[in-house]
Amino acid sequence: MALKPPTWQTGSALKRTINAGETAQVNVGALVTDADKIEEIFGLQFRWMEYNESTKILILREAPIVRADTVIRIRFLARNEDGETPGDYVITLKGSVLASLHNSLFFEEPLNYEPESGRVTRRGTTIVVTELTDNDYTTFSPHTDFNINMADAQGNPTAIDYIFIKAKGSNIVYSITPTGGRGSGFTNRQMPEKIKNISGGEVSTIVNGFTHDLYPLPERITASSVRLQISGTNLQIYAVMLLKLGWELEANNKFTDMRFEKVDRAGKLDDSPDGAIERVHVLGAERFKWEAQYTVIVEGSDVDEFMDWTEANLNFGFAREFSRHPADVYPAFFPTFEMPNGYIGLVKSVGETIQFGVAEQ
Amino acid sequence: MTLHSSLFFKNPINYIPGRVTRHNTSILIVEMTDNNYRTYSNERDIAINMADAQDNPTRITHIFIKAINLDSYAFTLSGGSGQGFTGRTLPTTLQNYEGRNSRTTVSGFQHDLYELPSAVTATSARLQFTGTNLQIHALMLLDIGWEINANTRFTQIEFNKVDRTGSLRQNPTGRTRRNSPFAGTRFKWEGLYNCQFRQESLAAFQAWMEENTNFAFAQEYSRYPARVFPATFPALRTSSGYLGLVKSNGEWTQFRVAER
Repeated sequence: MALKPPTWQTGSALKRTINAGETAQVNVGALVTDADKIEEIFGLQFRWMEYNESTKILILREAPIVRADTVIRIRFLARNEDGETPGDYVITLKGSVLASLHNSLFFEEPLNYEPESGRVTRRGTTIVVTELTDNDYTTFSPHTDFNINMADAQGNPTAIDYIFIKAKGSNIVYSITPTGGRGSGFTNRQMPEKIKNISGGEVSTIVNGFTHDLYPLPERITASSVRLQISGTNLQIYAVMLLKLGWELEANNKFTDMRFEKVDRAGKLDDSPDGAIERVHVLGAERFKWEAQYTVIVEGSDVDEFMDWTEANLNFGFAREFSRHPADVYPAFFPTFEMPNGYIGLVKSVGETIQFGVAEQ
Repeated sequence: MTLHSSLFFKNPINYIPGRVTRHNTSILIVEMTDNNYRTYSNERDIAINMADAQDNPTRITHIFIKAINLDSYAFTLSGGSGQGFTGRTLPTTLQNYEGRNSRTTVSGFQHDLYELPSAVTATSARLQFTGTNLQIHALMLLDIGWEINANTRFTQIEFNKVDRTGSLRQNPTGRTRRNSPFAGTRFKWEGLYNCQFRQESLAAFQAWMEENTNFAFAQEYSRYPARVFPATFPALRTSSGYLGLVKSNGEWTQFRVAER
């Protein structure tokens, strides 16, 4: 019979560092003496963690990839008839590069694309540059030094995880210098000419004469202003997006349906009484734009969280599968007003799907 | 009663306007009952008028809370029968039907659908909350009406998240963006069910639907903790039929549920 409340071990016994993909078990019962019952009361908020109260085992099942070191504190309460004692088990999940270029990446709408905001200017001037953010592949800027205002409406710095550039020319090299926030930029990144897809095959990043780069920054930075310097031979810059990652969907085994269409939104057919027909376009019409339909397998609370993200980000930035389709990175929106969610079959544990559309702005 | 099932509650009496006030005052609190996740109350001590139109106590079987930074809550009754409770801490996970953990925190909101140990009745209820930077976004005092086993009785469950007030903005050249009207309502749930009634009376469920066209709904709390909301049966016609030629095998019915 216990004569005092339970006692937790201290120091390194209550700490652990874990890497992405790693699985482990923690015998919580061995970390405390004189406990009849140990319950988790706070912090077990992740799908890859599970605590079995009867065995007192904390299961860590395939820790996910996170960008920066993430500290997770799980509070347990050990009880006996003489009292109860809380104990904190601290897990440090090691950071790594976030999200894979093989997957479908959903970004918040790039702040530098904010329509008519004038956020991109030629460095040292107030001359607004619109060609980099109009999603129009007939317009470009030949300039090499830009300032991009990344402050939000309250003047606070915003987060950047990726940079996307679409350009023409050769030997294109670029640097970014952030100010007003946290983290450092980089210098002299050469736009790669090839990238490997998930199957290991090489894909050219040059599509129809345009070179593309979707670069995940080594760590998330924040900035109220970003200087972009870019150089190359016969340089023409068509698109620049500074992106904050919102959601990543596994594009290689989690979709049951993925269909992309190129759509002429402004064209029509002209037909004459004798049956001759001709395709016509409105003067100044947009180029054909992507419109897609997805059915993707998502589970449990992730369904609701993804839906909530789409509701908060009706207009967003999208990279379909950069490692396979480098040109398919663009400002997008969710075009449908309903997002169905259902079970794959009568046995629910098989999984659930949600359906949604993605359309290029 | 199980949180794995689809639960149909009577329309929460505290959602009738004017029933929730700051304790010992006549100051109305509307943010907990407007089904608007942008609004919240940080009141820590509230009173809820639970009496019916004849001033009789009404029944409570469950409590649902949607909150941020809520540590615990206590529930005190008066004017009826049964016990309240003190110091309930919101669980951070729960197990779904297959035994896998579901997070009760979804998109930053904590959720708790708590089945009381036994039904209570009250003309007045008092809730006291603890937490730092507390935000109570939704509170429902619920009386269970019907439970449908969500794991064996359905042949079809489809839920859509619907934008009822948004639109597209397209210019003549094809450039398109998504609009949402200023202060438009958030997306709402609309679901289609097809389920079987083998032993229970379909007629009894249909009668309940007719009496409770506006109600409260928990789709499958143990799998979707965030999907508890005031609802309505939006279809003016519901279909039903026999499962097969042998009528004693049971019946099916198809109906819709829509979040208000």
